[in-house]
Amino acid sequence: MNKYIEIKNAHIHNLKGIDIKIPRGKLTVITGVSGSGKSSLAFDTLYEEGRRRYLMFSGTQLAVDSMPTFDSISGLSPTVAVEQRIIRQSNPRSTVGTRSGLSSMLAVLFSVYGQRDAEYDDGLPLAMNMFQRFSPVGMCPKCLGSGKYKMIDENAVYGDDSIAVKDLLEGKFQIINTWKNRIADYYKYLDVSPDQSLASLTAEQFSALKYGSPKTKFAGVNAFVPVGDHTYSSIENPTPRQKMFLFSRVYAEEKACPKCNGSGLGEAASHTKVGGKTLYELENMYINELHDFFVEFKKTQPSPLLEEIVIKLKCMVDVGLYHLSLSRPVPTLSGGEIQRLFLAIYIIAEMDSVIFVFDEPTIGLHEVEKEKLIGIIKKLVERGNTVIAVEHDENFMRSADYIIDLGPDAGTGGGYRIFQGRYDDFLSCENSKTAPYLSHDKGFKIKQTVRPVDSANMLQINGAKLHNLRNISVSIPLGIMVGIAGVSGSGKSSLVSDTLVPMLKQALKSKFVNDEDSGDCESCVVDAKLSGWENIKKCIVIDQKPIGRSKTSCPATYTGIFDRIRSLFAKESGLHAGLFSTNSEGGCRVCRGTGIIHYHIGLGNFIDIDCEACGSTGFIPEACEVKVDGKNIRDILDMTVDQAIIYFKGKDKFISDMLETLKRVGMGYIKLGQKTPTISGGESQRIKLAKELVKIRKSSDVLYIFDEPTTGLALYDSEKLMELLQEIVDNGGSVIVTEHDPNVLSNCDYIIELGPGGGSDGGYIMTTGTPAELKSDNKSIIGKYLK
Amino acid sequence: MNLELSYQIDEYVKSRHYRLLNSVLIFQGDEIIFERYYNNCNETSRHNIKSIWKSIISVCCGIAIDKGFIKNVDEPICTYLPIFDGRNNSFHPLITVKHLLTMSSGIYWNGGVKYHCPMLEQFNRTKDHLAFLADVKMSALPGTEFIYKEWDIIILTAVISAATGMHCFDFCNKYLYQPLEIESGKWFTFSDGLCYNIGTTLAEQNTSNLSARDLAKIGLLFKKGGKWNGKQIVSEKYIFEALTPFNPGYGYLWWIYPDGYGCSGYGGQQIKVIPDQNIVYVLQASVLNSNRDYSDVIDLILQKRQQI
Repeated sequence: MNKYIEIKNAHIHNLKGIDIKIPRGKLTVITGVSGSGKSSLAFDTLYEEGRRRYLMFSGTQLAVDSMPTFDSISGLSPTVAVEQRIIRQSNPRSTVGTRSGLSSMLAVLFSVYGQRDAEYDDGLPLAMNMFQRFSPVGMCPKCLGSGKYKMIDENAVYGDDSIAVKDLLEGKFQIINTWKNRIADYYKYLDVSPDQSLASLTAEQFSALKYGSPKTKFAGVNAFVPVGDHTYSSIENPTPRQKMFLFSRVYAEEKACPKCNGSGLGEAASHTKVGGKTLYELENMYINELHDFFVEFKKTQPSPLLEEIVIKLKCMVDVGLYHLSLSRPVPTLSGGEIQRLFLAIYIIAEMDSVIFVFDEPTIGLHEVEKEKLIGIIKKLVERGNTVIAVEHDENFMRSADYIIDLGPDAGTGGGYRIFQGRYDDFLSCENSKTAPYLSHDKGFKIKQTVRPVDSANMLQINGAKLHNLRNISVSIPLGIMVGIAGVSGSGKSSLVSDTLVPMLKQALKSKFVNDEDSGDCESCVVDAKLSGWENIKKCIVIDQKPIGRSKTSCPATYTGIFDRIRSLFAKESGLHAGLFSTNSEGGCRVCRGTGIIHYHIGLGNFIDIDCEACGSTGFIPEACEVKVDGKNIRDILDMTVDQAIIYFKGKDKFISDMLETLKRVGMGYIKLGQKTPTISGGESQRIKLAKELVKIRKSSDVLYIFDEPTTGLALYDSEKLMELLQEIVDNGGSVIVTEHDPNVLSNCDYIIELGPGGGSDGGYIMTTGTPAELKSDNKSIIGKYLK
Repeated sequence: MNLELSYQIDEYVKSRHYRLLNSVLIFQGDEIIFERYYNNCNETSRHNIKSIWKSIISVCCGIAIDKGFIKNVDEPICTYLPIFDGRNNSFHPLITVKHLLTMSSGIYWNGGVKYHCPMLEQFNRTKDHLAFLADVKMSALPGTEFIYKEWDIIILTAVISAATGMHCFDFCNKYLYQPLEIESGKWFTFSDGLCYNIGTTLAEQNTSNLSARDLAKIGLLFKKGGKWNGKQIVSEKYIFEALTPFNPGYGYLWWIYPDGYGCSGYGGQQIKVIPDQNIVYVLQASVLNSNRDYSDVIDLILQKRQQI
């Protein structure tokens, strides 16, 4: 067997025809600045080829000729990759339980060992699918497994019975326009005068008003309120006005389903218990509690199935997922959590001789948790697997057996092999931009002075008790940079994203900026008090949610420069601007402007083939014929920000400004037309930041809220980003960052640490103070990691 | 009976491998023009009626309306079943008897892979069946969406029972089966009194079985405008409404075809009336895991007869 995986002449994307040797059965880290070609090597070359070969010999691969992106690869074995971007697009109904397979195991457990309440025991055997809420056999018939139910609040609609029927129909609900004849029918056949008050209606007339009556075609006011996910056919295409009414939460409040009490399960499952708990109760326990529960239960009921469940749970606790519950939907997990969930699944599978490719597995982990994770990955290696990780984390690299550094710069300036070899030798590598940070020759720049806290200028939150927060009160100083620290699940997000942000939104109203106007915050009622916000002129939340919703959105469209580029082309050619958009008349008809055709080839595998009709440009030929300075619209979208800066110089001020700002936030390497699904959370966040920075010339009295801004950044890039944040504060702005990275936290002026543990063990304020104070504070967990 | 024709048909059935086909019966006017049984069956053997039961319930509903037990088809079902008065869902009061007769109650139904809703399994095991049905989600405004489903027919039997004060089978037996001299066992009944011809076990299902000649009587009754031996069993008015397509090809639990109308059940059970040719025919077959259509046998018989 080969000792090495050898790649010869890899040249995909910006890789410069490099030869790479990766030792098998070892932990290898691929590092380099953002955009240097790490993912191109790890995912687009190594993983794609490993997968292609595996599919080929298992007979599921279509014979597709594509240009090889390398000369040869030897030493491959089956390859498994966990990319953050792929898993983000999972089924919205999948949960931690279904993804890990624990839900099915619990379903079997309940069907075998379940104790039924005496009155619901029909003597027939229990079946596994009776414990699966998305199986029609197991789902609650009322809510079809969702656990939620919308009930029309009749009191809100008809509570005021002094109102005239006409005013209710035409005034309050304005349904006269669409249902004019039917309302007339109602008046006629039920003998109602439009001016009659609700109180004066007979029972039959009132019921017909609410629910309609067979005497008329009028279906009643209630028909205008949606009660389920399957909307009534009469309101399938509501007018804007109907929509406004339909979706207001006032008239149809969403409640836990009254039949299943929110569990989404049918009768049998609701009345069957294992160890005194129902399936629903177990699914909502934190994984560490669930683990302890089954350890206890196993003593009374030894079985191989339970053994397996306990092993799985233990594994999930070990990889740092103890603060989740099985019912948690996968799409709400952070990128790091998703990686670790998959890691846990692989560890349980106990495979060897497999090549694992990870994409920054330490993202979002506290230093303490990172150590655990490194231990687990090492175990995977000990078992005989090869692990290749794209990673920036210092400790992770230190634990690696082998380092590959790509660079030196991003985009066209990168793609060279700077180093491959042992970690110790790497430290002395002079060409690398990463090595100096590790060898502490340079080290991450830590600012030596902290800005003073102005006690008169503080945000004060009192009585925060959302999720696991323990009725805490905290002061957040403004005008400086504040870091929020704490282990995963300790309540950082509950405090910042779910408590502070919604309250600020309420207080600041129009001055609040958050592109993704998510309805999520509206639904959680925040029960806390906020003061001190009066000095904030504007609040900008920059999170990691993807930019844009459509598959064809890209940095150019998101930042608004694409509109300018299009008009530039339109002006040059005298044609309509829509011709230069893939979403409009310029889009290829065959691939709908995506440039690729997506085929399902069976067994859940997909293959993308370049669209032949448009030569994978996504544009119709007419659009591509127009050239400005020798470049057509497709060429522009294929440019990186760095290249575009040169191209657009002197052409358009707005475009140039935007591009310069993108470069400043470390996005110089990104292509203008890069598709949203391939943009990582960290990248999205920085693109959003750039968009906001361009708009605001002066940052004074503006509050910026960041969620782990250095995610996915190489140390070199993180440093640049930190400088930018410091600049914001120097110009009079305020910054709040939720962060794990000790480098970032050390550069904050003030740190608020939550803890001590995650989930039910967290939710307290551990300590607050400057980084220096935290270092000597033995209540602080992060303190000893600070620089 | 033409022996040569019988022989030709036997050969055809054999050549098509119709091993499950049990009964082929054709009436022209009041006269049997073709009758043939396979698999050791004869004119007295009874077979599963499957969804032909739905059409029979429709006849019962018509009789209940004629006799004044049910006011009319537009009566809301909550008049008879108070649990549908809106306490569970504000749209329940809108459901009328007509909606049940036309499979458009709007109650959620998941057809499953082979029609039978997997949710039926939950339904079969629940304690209070009517309460279960009243809990099932509403997926459309009553009267707006045609979805062929079991819920509507089960609720309809409950409506008939409640309106007449009799078990639905007893009512059917007294007003339909006995006057037509049809013999049937009592339909499968849940412990809470709700009945449904598809019981949980085979034995429970077989109680509703009917012979080919009995099934033909149902078709003949409709062809004769509801009269049987000079007595009006069900009104002509109801039959007229039942055979008016409320949804394309479907009246009140009766199927409507370009050349006639009839009842149809899973696995190839069929009663069909072709008024222009004065024909009523019945097909019966054993049920396996797929739906079948044996009407080509009838087509062949009618074609051969013309040649003779």
